[in-house]
Amino acid sequence: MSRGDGQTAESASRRKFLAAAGAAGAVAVAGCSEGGGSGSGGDGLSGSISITGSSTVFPLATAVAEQFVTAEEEGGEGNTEVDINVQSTGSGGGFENFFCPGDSDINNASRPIKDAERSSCEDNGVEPVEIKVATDALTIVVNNDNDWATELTVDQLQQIWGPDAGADQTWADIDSDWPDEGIERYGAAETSGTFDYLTETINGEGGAHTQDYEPTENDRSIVQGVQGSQYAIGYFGFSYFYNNPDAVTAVAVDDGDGPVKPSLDTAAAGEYTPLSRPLFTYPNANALSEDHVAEFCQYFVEQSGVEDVVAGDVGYVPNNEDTVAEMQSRLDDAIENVN
Amino acid sequence: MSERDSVDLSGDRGAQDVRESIYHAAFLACAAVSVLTTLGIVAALVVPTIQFVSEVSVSSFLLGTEFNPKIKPVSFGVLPLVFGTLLVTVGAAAVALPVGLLTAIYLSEYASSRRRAVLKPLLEVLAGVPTVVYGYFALVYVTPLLSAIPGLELGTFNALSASLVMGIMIIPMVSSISEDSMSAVPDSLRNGAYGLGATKYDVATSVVVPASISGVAASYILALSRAIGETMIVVVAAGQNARLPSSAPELLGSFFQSTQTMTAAIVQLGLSDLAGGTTGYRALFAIGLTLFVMTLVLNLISDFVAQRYQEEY
Amino acid sequence: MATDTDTGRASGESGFGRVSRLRGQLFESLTLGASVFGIVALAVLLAYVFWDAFGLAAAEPGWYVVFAGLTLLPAVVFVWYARRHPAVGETSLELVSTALAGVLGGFGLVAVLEVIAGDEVWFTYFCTVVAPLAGLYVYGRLDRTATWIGVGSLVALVGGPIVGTLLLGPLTTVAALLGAPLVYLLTVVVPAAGIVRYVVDDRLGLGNGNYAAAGLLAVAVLGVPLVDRTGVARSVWLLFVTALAPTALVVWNNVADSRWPGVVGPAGVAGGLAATVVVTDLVGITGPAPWFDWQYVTSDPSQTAADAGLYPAIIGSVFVIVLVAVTTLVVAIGAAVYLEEYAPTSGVAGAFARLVRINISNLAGVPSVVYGLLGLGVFANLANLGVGTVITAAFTLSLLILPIVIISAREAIQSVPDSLRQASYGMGATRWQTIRRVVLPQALPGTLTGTILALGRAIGETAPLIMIGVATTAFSPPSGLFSRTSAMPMQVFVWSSYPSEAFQHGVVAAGVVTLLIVLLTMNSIAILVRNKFERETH
Repeated sequence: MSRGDGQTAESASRRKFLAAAGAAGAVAVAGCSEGGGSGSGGDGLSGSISITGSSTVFPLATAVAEQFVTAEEEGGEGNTEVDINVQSTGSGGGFENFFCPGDSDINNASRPIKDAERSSCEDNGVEPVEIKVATDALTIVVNNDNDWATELTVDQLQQIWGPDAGADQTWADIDSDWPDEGIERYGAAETSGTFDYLTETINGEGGAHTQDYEPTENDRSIVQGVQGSQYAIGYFGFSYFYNNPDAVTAVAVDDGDGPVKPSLDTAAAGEYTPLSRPLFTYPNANALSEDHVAEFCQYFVEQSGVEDVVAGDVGYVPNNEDTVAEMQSRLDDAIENVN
Repeated sequence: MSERDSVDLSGDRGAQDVRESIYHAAFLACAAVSVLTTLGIVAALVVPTIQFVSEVSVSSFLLGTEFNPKIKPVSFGVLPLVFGTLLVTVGAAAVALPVGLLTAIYLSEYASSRRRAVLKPLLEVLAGVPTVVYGYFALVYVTPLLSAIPGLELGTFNALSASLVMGIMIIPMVSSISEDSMSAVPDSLRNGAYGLGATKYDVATSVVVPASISGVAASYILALSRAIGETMIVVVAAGQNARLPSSAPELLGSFFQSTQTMTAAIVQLGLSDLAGGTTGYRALFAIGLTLFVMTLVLNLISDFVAQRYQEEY
Repeated sequence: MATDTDTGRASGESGFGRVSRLRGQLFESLTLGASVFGIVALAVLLAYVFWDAFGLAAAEPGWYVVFAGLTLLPAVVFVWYARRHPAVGETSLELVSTALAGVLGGFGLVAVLEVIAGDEVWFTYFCTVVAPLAGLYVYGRLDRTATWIGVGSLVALVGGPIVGTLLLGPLTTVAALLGAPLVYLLTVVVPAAGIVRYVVDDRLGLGNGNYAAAGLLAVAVLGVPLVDRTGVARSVWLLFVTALAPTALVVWNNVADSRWPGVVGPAGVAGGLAATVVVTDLVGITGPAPWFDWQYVTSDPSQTAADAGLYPAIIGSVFVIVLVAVTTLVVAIGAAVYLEEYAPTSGVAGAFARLVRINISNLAGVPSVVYGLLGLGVFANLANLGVGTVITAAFTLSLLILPIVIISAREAIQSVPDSLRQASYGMGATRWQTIRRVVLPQALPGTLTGTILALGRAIGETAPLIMIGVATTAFSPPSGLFSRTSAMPMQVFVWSSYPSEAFQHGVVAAGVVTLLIVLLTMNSIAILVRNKFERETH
């Protein structure tokens, strides 16, 4: 191969490469100009939905979204052209960073929207519609070999989890009949909504929590921690306990009317207090003008009453019929108002 | 470059000169992108940090011993995070630095060229595995394996697994840079030593390593800088417990418990329930700036060491 | 060693005394152990992951016997044979890498052309961008004196997409009339046949290129009825045939040079694997219950482990990486050329160039999470490109790997001997002409190797993606530049926090295996490119 040929060949391959690179770039740019994809004028809903918000509601929203887009022959609702993406950002983070600036269509929250957040949203032209989708029973768990602390009053819980609980606190400090062993605590990381809920409900003030605990966002490691020591105690959302009832023991909480164990029935009946928290989803009323968003929200409300989905798949307490009807009419009103 | 105004050999180049300047400008712009990147990083980090510093004083940030973005009393001291980072880095260095140095010695002094041709690409593979995969390994395989050792009490999240796996990941960095530096030592030095009756071991440890010490030191510092900046391994496997030990036994014990590094804190704050305009959210940029400055200083020191103490042959 | 070969004197009786070799041998073993420590540790961990991902625990012992006999044994024999004949090893490495690259390339083509763009959009931009560029190139080769080709190509590159967007309506109608398979036949297979003809005729000298091109077309077209029966889409078949054409060429090339052992070996092992599957099916032995299977790669994510899949994340990653490759290569080569060819050593510009060099080596050491913060602040918020969109992710990752690629491009350009440059200048070429015709062609293989390795790193990066808000779970692939996307490492990271055992040891393991396969293929392509071009230039 003479030098000339080599040069030609090399420059040829370089040109080819440039051409290919340009083509790839052009194709990629092409993707942006229209919806792209292989659906040419499909019948049925299409569009994209962006969902952000609480990590507690995340499993429920994902399960419902999955059902919504799965093809009918696989048992879903058949809206395969709808493009849903879900992001677990935390309730407050979702409001401030995505929903109120208008970057997401629906925000899930494990607590009601705050007034400040609502006004910030409305300043940006975003109108949240409050829809309750489920109830979570925050569960306190202890080791299966723990036979003394299976019933705790709210007061005792506050002593265990409050800001004054130090590393030297033992079970005996709470009740002198109990073993004189240090308490090992496993709980939610301070940046999560579950943490907020516990501190506000049990300890009376957001952020008031002991520092002597093992924080994690991972329910599995809380269970492993509690399983690993007889003197351990932890807390997380009901879903994990519901799916693994034999791994650890749930504590019956006494809010003045006697100890109540967390279960679908007690939470639905409102007996498991104060740790039953409502879970919400907030669609943007203006996004409801789009068919696919409105359909999805209606589907969500419908599914919120289905026990198989909410309790069976995810582990929360489904809405009862009255609540479902109330949410449906609230949603229908919002859809009507915007159209 | 030929001087075109003395003898015009090629005829009219008017259009071509214009083309030349266009290309020159285009290339200059490409090179400027890197400068813009640095400016962008500095701006993206400094602007929120300035706001943060107006709410939380610099001393309470840099010297504070508690990092509690939400638990009252809320404090944003970065020292527990720095401790977590150093803990994991020291653990990784304890694995990677000796192993990397020995690997480099083997590759440059003992290995036949066939073995070297096999080992070097394999070591490159170590560096190429995605870090989230390493984090998964640490969480799902290494921690149970280590927990099986009798007498060792490991939590699900612990600094030991994370630093062990991180050490494995940065071995290639140490070994390849050190080996380059050792290969640059001229054979005349080695042969001189052999001529005086030294064994291969003597040559390797007393001649080659000291001669290439600047490269080895530079590789050490670069590897440390990489370990400090590593994110996914610690996010997946090391936990979220930012605390500063108060006594020596607690310090050793920290290895077996969960800890939180600066990088893990940045990710946690970014993924968390903190709203965009709050102090807690801005803390993540302040931590990012601290991290950036730390790695920058280490990289500069590494360059300095490599150049200043490099033996010229 | 001077002290040990003490010929002429009986051992134990010498003026020098005996030197203990023990310390040296121990040290050698220590260093050897250290060298393989990391590799062995990684191998053990990989074995665990593969065990989980392929569900090997469920397989009966009988399956292992069949597998060992039909697949492992031939593989071991072949590797032993290849060690004795290194040329055979090289050939088989080339073949395996090309085959893997072909398969991945096929997936990539399907992802970009069929899923993301769609056949109609592809047809439009093919007519307005690719065809004019190709036409200009061919004309430029035929008429060497046409210097306007360069500018013309630039115009086509920039103006083509604009014209294409304007003509989107009519051209998509035409494409709809033609139908997807015909579109791909005309726009992908036929040009590929043309390239095959050129390569066979001019580069490989194997024989008549026309026959080769005709063969490709024949395989593509005649295979359609067969493929229809298996349920695979015709478009997918055509795209895969194109992607695997290089593999066929490699096989033909090696067979023509009588290097057939290197071809037969890997083919035999692959055949053995297929035979294992068939035999165990026939005899009724239970095989492994893999998590990593076709269903996994083509399904959407799900809350139930058995249904979970990686498909939208794979498409998202492919889309982002293609964009990253284009942006990074262009900017990195530009910067490297400036630093090596244009930058003066004194004056303001010289100081600027020095600053840029130092800056690049510092940027290479910045943690990836800081790049994520940069992407969030500049691209997502300031430039308003959207949080977690394809384009934000692409720009962020480009900036992340830019320093590495610039460094390897600089090294490649530096390795071009100065004598070549001086010769070119001596013949009156301008600086740009020298760069374009002398320096860049020589430096391109090294640059490509560095780029492919850097892209392999970019595919696996998670931290920047987390910070710019890439979706935690996406149920469908991204539909355009500004749509939100998920990515492979992000999806694996999210799954690793799901509590159930099936996710931890099944779904995530399969995701890890997917990432590793992609990475391994890219690394081996890079090594192949490096070896191939190193051989050619010497």
